[in-house]
Amino acid sequence: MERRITISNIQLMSLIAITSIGTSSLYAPATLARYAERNSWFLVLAGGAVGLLNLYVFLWLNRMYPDKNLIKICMHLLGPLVGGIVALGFIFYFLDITSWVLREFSQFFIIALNPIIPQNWYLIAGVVMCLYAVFHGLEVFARVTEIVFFITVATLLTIYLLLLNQYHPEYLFPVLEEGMIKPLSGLMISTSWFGDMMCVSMVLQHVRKTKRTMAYATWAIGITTILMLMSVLSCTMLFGAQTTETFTYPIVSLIQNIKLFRNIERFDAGLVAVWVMSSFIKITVYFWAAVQGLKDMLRIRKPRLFLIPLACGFFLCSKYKVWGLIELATFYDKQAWYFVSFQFFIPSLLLLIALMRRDSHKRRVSS
Amino acid sequence: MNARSGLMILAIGVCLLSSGCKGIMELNQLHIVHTVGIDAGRNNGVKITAEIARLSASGQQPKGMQDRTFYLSGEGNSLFEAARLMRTKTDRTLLWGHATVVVISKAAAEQGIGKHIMAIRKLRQFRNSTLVYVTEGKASEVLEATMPNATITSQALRGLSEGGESTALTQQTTLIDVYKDLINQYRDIHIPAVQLLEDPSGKKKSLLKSEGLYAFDNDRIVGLMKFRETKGYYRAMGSLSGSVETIPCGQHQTVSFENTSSNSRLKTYLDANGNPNVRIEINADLNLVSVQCEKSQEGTISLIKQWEEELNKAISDDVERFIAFSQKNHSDLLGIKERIHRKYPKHWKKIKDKWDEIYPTTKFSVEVHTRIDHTNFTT
Amino acid sequence: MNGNKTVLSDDVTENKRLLNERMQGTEDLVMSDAFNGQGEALTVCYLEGLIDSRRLEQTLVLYMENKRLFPAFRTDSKLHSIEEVTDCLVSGMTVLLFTEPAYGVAIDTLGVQLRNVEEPPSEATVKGSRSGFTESLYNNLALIRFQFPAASLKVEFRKVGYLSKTTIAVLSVGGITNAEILGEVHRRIGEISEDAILGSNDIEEWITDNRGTMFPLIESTERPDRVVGALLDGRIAVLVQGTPFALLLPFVFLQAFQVSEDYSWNYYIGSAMRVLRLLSGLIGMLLPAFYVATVTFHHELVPTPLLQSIAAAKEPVPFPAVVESTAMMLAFEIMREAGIRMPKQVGQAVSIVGALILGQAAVQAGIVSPIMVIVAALTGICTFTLPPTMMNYVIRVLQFGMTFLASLLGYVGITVGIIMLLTYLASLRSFGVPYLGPVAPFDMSELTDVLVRRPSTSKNRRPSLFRAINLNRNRGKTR
Repeated sequence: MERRITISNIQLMSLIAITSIGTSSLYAPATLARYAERNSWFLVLAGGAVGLLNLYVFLWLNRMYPDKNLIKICMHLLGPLVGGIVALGFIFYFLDITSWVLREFSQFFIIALNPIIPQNWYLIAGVVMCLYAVFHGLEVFARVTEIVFFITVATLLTIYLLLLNQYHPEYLFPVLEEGMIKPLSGLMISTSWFGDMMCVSMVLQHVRKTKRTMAYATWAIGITTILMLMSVLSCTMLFGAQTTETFTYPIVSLIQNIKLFRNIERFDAGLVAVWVMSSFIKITVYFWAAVQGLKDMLRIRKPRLFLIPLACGFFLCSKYKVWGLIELATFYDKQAWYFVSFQFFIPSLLLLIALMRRDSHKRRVSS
Repeated sequence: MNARSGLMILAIGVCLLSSGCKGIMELNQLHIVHTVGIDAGRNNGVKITAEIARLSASGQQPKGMQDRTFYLSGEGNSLFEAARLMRTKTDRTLLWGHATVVVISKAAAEQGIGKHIMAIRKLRQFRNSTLVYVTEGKASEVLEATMPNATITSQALRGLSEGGESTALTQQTTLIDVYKDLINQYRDIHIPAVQLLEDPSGKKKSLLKSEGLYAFDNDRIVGLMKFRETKGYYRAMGSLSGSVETIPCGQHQTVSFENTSSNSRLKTYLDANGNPNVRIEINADLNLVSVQCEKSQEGTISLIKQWEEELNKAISDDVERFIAFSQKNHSDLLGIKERIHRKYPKHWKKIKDKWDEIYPTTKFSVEVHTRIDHTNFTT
Repeated sequence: MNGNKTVLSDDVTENKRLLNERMQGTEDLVMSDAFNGQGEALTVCYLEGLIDSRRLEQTLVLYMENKRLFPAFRTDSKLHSIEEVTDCLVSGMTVLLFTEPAYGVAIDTLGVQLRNVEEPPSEATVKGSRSGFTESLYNNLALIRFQFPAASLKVEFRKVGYLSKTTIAVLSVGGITNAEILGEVHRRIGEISEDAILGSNDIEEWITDNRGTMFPLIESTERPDRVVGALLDGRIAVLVQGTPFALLLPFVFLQAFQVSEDYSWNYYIGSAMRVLRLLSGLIGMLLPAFYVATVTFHHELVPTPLLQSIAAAKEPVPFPAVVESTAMMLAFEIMREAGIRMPKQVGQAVSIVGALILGQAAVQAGIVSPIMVIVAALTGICTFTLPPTMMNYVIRVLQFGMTFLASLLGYVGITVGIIMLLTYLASLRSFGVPYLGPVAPFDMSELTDVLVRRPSTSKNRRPSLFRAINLNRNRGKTR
């Protein structure tokens, strides 16, 4: 009865890229500047490298179990009890991160646009929009992701290009005056942004695989790194590291520096579009992953019935999760290990176990 | 099922509608603020004045930026409080997002410009490209000046700032520039000065004039750089695009040149003792525009050479005057300290704390190469 | 209706009685007895007015002379039952009933006054072919055959509607059209269980993928050249007797912005027109929303002098921008609709009243601001640039929704609206082809083909979107 869901390589690429840059590149320069000042580009590169490693972990896991998603792999590898607990952990993580991103989504408008409109409205708008997409399923929002990907990349590139004559490359010097090690204190948070692409662990089994799947996935991390790098570099070169650090959303200030034809400025609308679209993709994909996980784990026949209660839950969670952006940012900043452990450490552990299993299995077979 | 979900959507829609469209600001509930003046208030407070455009009466064609204006002011302990208190005197909400110019009085700047700039940034509505001016007298009086053909002062001030491109006596300094300099500490702040002129025809003070730059040491105002220092500063920064240079020839007579392009190279290096030295090299192209003394020799190579040398002298004089001013007032407008930081990061750590003492003793050498391009090509 | 058929009897009067009964005693049924040369009795039956009497006469004379009925038969099979006879009668044939043995022969004598082939009013072109379909199915088929005289063009007739038995023709090209899609079309046509098909739109609603959608999932056109172009792309055309609109399927979203005239112009101009149409589609959908969002939420975006002018113009208007814009758009829609419905002679009055009352007077009375009039007018005109598929009505409806969202949340609302719209569009399929066409799933060469009208010399591949079997357009070497 269930038609096999497939998505293309480009859709996979867009999904990876959008979930990792779409939202974080708007505030990344500020956060990274706190750790590495004018060398934040270095953190991006380091984060990108770890991100690539992280991606390969998922790709490898997927190659070993081509028709299983992360939840099923957990259950398969660790048995129903331990595996179930780990899988539940993952599902909890998916649910949790959905509400985090939702909150982040609404917080942006409060800060950058208009503090008068009540937050609930934004939350409702966000929930409804994502609920609708999840209702239609992976194939549909993967297609939307493609469009969003082009719009986002084009908008961001246009912003950086239009500012070309305002950059001061000298703001980047001296390069790495504190050495290579000290800036790496922010590696965890940088990694956690790249790690947002861990949603692919649930998606990979649906990708119509070709020889180029690997290349596309790698490219996705490449594009992510390049765009993140551009965002960090242009902020640093335009404002200087210290100033960048004081902004909440440096890119908002960045776009306000664009001035066309003497009179037209404040292209905030472009950023609003990027933000809404990227957040939409990010929330949707995690929401979908959570639902998919629940379905696989509890063997639910009609997961669609769970969508509306879950959506209401997200709304409430996001609303009462934190009291404001400060707390949100602090959590992201200080508790990055929480994200990274689910994004990177546990999956790597799973991979290790899988590899050991296979080795021992082989040995048993050969002996 | 469908009817039920339809009803639900309807109910939600009605709820949303009846909760009132919060956050909506219709244009007829707004006053558009064009210029903001910040003065020192009583008890170390702040007085803020806003220039607001009067909207033309109905039935008439909209006049764009040619409408008359009126003024509102408020006083409070902080900028925000003053701005809010203004609302008590007006029938509409004020829209700050379109403020083109912020004029700060010298008295207010002496309180420390940092807090005002920070407060404005926090107001969030302000544009990055809002121009900043400092005036000797009261900011509110500057707002009330009327320039011919520009009834809104912000347009007049904006026009003035654009004149800097041909005179090199002022420049567009925006809010974000000031904020950047304030936070980054790469160099000290400078803000163009604006002055009210007495209109000879009437009693009313009406004309505005841009008048050099105010230099700051951190957020403390230290002094006004007059024309020559200002020009010298722009020369040294290499940000000068057009200006007039004159050299004397004979008695009370001058030869005038128009600057067409100018660039500079600033080099910092450490001498044997580890003291920073700065070398400024300036290349400029100029056009001859008027010669008041006898013209017989005009256009000969030797004369041009002579003029060029005199120009070199005049320009390096300007630059040196600026440097003297800057060193005297500890106002590191050129960002020498950051240049040293960039070039000698290790050495910088050692001298960082003593920079305030080092800067006035830093040796500057100025070298100017001018080239006179067109002499008398009259078409 | 049971499957049993009443066999024609040898008795002439009995046959007549049966026929009359079957036709509910209709009074336009003519049945006259005659004898042929051999003295054989025959009954000539036809429906008065439905036949061309001159043609009938010619045929009968020919028959009397040659004793044979060769040229005029559409089918040489004989009719044996009353039901068959009535079916032939209602579709405009004359039936000659013979006795001993009892059989009937149908002669095609259909003679209905139809209009001539003329320029299609809804898809007028400046350059390019000017013939449009008429109400006659066979004539339409002839027009297509005339434009595309290829042996591989296949026509399949189907009868739909259990009362009306409307003939519809399914056109495809052998070696190009994907058999799977063709099969699907036939399957869906088979599912039609309506009593009568009154037009191509009935068919469209029956065979569309998603019956609940407002978006056209099937294109309809009046132009034979567009049908031929579509057939060559591997699409399928469905023609319905009695409607001058051919259905083309599958249909993807971006095709709503193409017109066949693009191919009559230089390709740079054709491409520019396409992009222009896309742009005006966007403006048509978003401009009022954008205006409302900008003047109520995001005043910063407007250049200061312009905002000053807008504010001054809006000063006397007591309504919020949403109300103002909705009212204006509604007024525009009313005028447009009135313009279509009104007789041509009074049509002028609408435009005068519209321009004067809604433009000038409303502004002077302080009901709407002049800027809003400009916005409404531009929006309206933009939607007129689109080819007259359903799409431009859809865009007009979406305007209102977008404006509503914009009034709630500003640009955020608009973006949320766009996202939901995109999600919805992405979930649609037209005969298995994703509706968002080459954009998502993304295909670079297809996308350029949709946005850019390629020169004929380099257009050597068919779009793969419609799963054509043979993608190569040029024979042999591509040049």
